[in-house]
Amino acid sequence: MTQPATSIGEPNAVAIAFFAVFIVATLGITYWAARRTRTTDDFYAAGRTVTAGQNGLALAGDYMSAASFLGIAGLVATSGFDGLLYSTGWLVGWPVVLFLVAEPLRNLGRYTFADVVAARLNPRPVRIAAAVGTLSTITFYLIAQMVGAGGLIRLLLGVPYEIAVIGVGVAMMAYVLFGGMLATTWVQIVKAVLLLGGAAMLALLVLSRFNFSPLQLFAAAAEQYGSGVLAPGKLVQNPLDAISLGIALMFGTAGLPHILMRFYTVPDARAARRSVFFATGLIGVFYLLTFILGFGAMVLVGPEAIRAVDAGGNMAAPLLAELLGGQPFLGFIAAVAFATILAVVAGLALSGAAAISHDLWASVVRRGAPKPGEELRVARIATVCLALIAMALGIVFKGQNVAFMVGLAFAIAASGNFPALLLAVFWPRTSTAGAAASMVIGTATTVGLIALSPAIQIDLLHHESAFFPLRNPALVSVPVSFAVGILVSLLRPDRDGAARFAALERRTLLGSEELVESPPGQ
Amino acid sequence: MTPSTSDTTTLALARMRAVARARWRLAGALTALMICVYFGFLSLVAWSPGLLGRTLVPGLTLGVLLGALVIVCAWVLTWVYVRWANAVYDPMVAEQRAALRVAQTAAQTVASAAAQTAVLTAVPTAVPRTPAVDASTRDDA
Repeated sequence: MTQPATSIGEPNAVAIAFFAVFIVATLGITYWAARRTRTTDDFYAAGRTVTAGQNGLALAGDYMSAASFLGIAGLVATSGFDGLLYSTGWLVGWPVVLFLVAEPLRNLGRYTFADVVAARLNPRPVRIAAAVGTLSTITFYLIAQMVGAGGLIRLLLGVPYEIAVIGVGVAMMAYVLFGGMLATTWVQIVKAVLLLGGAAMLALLVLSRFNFSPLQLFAAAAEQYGSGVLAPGKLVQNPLDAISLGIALMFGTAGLPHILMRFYTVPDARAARRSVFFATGLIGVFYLLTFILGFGAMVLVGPEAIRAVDAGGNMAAPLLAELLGGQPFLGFIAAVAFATILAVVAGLALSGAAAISHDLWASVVRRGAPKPGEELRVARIATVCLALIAMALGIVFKGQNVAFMVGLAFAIAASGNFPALLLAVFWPRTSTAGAAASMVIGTATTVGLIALSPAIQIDLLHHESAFFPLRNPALVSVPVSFAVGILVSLLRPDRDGAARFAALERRTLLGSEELVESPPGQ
Repeated sequence: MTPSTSDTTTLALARMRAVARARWRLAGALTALMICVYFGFLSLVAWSPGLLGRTLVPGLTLGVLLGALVIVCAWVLTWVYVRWANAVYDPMVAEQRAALRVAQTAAQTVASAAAQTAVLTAVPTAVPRTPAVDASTRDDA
């Protein structure tokens, strides 16, 4: 196999220049945002001043990770149709977010999704359990992003792995620590525009070679590599595995703490609803573009050339950019990939800090009455700690295959966070014990089954077989979490559960604006 | 509290509950539809890959078409919901909220008048304010 002519892996002046512009611009935004971040409302929720359109872009920015940009394009380029399963899977969670959680979340909570679950239950046990779910989700997501970031930046810019990880950690810390949610939101918006613009340009360049017809592109792929590339292939060996992953992707989105937190940045439930509509549109366009990018890389660059640069196929989109637009376009796409990672980790760190300071410190340790300014101080300390932990974990997991960790984060979100959130909003008989048990057992089941799955037992520990056959545990862990929540609620009901649900329902109906409560019983 | 304001409040809340039920019905139906579409697609991929590999026109197999349609379907469902919520749900809720506000203002006026009477006649009245929800979600830190 001959080494393809590519400058990937060498320091790229254009990439570094684009990247420097991005860093300077986002730090400028952070400086601007820092002067507007004084209260906890500012820090966690950008003062609730974000418009529906801005939040739609920011949601898209939070969600479209480098894994989906580089990973799916690579997967399609090397295995064809099977990669498209991810494109559809990552999107179908968004209608669920819109229909089931966005509006109740905005009406019932303030900063974290635990606000909603705790709204009518005894706050302390529920918040501790929710923090466990949130921090587990965030940790696995962060590890996946940090390890991916180190590897990508080394490949794209020629920077050593450890320096790349530390650089990402420091930039993330700066955004969140000083600029809070306002800076994080604008970093997401800039990133979403860059990513969508970059992907669209790349797709247009690909299509210009095929008379602007996607069908001619797909036909060329089928002609070169056989019609099998347009049909389900060997990636889907176990049907139950595909269904299980589908469950994690579909319901995990509605349980991702950093996504749910974004709904508090808009003024009301109507804006929350509109922002999900925009986000669904943008993310859908992006995943349709990955069809073009993936097959474009397959036809124009070739699967062998892509695997020669990176065995995982992650360099398909950058290689395609270099082929079609030369060194400058490669530099641009590389900088976009870096910006993508930075924006995602900033959102993750902020929601982790909120779980620690708002859920654990203010609500559990201080029993809902923290000293003035204390919650914000704890949030900033938590941000620094999370950044240091993320950098350390990023370096510890160097060279490990951490691809399963994003699936794991989605599985925990789907089975630890989503069932309790849904039960608390919809089911009058949900009790404190039930919600807490659902979150803790859902999270524990997911982590336990992953540890017993082929991803750990065979791929990582090189055992002969795995105790649990599925690579993604959602098929088992989501029903378990729902069943535990319902059973425990029935066995251990709250004493004043009915009255509290009535109050919650009232607040859902009346919205976040506070109406004067008429005293009951008059 | 006079019976008329109390009735208005009860009526407004009952109407809002009906609107809210309609919202949950639609949201539930659309969620179920999305689940059917996506898991239907996944089931075809898992159990009849041959069918999805069938070429419709050169370059387009049934699988690729259905995959793209899943994304389009997600768009259409969100559009249906947002359109309904903006055109029907929001105006109805706003109307009932306004009715409720009028009723409560009236109730307050009555209550404060009653309280004044109470002070004048030196009968102590206590109106306990029950915390409706978890205090930490309401009090500003």
